[in-house]
Amino acid sequence: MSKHAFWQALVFTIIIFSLGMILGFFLELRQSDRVYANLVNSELNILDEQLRQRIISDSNVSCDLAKESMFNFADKIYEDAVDLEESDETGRITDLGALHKRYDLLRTLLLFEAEKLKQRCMEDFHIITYLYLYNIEDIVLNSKQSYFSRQLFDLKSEYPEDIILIPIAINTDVASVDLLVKSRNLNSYPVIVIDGKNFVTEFSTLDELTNLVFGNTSAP
Amino acid sequence: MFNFVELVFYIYLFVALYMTSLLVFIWIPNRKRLFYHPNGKPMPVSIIMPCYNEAETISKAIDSLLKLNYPSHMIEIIVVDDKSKDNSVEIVKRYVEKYPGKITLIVNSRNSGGAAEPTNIGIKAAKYDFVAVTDADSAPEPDALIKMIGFLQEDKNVAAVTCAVMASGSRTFMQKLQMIEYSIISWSRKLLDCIDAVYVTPGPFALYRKSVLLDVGLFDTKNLTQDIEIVWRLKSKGYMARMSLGARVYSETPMKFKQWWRQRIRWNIGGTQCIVKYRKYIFKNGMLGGFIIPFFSFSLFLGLFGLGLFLYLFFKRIIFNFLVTRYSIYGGTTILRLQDLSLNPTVLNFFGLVLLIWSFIFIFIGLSIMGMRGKREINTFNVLFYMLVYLSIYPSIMVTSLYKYLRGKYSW
Repeated sequence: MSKHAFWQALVFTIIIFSLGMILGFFLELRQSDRVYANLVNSELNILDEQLRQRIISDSNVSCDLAKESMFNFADKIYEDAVDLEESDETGRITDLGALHKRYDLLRTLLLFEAEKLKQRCMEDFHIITYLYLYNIEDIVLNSKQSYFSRQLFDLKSEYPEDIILIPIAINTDVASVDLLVKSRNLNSYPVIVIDGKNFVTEFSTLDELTNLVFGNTSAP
Repeated sequence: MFNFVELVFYIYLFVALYMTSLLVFIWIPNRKRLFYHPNGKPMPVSIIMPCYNEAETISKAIDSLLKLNYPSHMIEIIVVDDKSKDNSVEIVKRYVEKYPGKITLIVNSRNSGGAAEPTNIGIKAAKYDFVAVTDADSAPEPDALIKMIGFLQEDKNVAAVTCAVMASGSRTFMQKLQMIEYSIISWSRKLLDCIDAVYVTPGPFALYRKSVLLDVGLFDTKNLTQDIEIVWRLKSKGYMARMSLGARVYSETPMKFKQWWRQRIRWNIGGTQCIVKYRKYIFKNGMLGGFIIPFFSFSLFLGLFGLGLFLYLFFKRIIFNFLVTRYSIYGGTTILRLQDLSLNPTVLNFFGLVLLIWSFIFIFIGLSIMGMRGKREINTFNVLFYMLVYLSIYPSIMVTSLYKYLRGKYSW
């Protein structure tokens, strides 16, 4: 009889499984190398953003220069966010929750900077804030968010110089984001906030959204 | 970190890896003894052949018994017809006339609707204590019986001996897949024999002690897989079942999916009947309660749960994609973006790939051992199709058979 095979197979399976988990961990680490680099960079980005805000408000930086700097910064953060989203979808072992929070913080800072700049310079760019729920199970809500996200992606691709797009997850337990949401009396998600005054919570076509962003005037 | 669904996937992967590893760890120390059989001394054997509408195959089946490398005077063949509607009886009568005293025909007074009742009639009529049971669509190899009988002679505690059941037909794709399946099952069953866990003596050809069968009450006529039930009953009474891998019988297999599906439903209902009937033995009675019943029950649970989970995730994804596509068409936005197609492998993909390769190696080892490598029907595509598609149909069979079982609407 080969009854030892039961425990031998168990030990073997545990070893293979453990090796697999360790290997998987390193595989994920390799995959998310860029994201971890961004984790370090995010610290710099936050400081950078704070300093930029101070320089823009205290110094006599021209509106054009400030706008260009902000758009470049926003685009960079957006690219980082896409990287992060991809790693989050494939990551099974490593928890990227903290990184999500950092980027939400950063985007909240960016939102305030954009609003200030728009006020100060009377610039004609539009600030679109997309407030959504992170990691939800509800299929209908999830598909709605996915649609909103595609819609905004298309809009941003169409008008890269005229729109600053700031997506922020509102349920990542970040105090400043919570305060922002409460202060603006928002209670239905996902919501697209256009220049702080128009709110889109229901389905609209891309054309309708474009009209809403650019008002009655035809889009540039 | 892991969510519930991922955790379930990891558990499935672990169980699958454990089961294949278990068989490999049984195989390694026993690999040189797999085809071993005790040298049997020819002793009189009664061969029982239940038959129902087998006109097409019964001649071949009887001829194969007549060609057994076994002293002719030590074999009696009893064909028990279960009220066939075709000319099976006429065919057998011709054999009876040609081989008087060697072949006997018994016609059941009614159609019992299964193999158990005619088999029991044949066993009661058998002259000898060693009885072999064979299907009327199967053909044992000439040396099958002599390679099996030694197990009964070697150990008085052994009450049943099975052999390697191989698929005989390979005309359709379905049959080619069954050729792979039967070979792997035979090999795996021999490995289970090494841990005293043979759980079935399939109908195509099996050898028993008549006295023991009578003692335990013969085959269960209510069970759809009487060949599984009898082994569980024998084991519950302390007897053993063994397997002779060197002995082979070739059996006809369903040619089409529909026939195959019905056969597998019957097998699964029979298996479920056995689990219910012998549930009190779980974790008792040696390998019956320690391995066979838990293995059957766990497989049933994993199959049903896995199918449920798969369907849930599948439909969730379908609904999600449907909604997003509908919204996108309505809104005039991009339907599919490059970033929606995530091509980065996950740890689960990695584990899945390892398991697939491991199972592929396992199957190829099995096919080599069973002498099936190099056959035209056994190509990489068929093996992959067997692993990825054929086996994945089983959970659906389980659900259907459980539904039929619970409704009580099932027959042979």
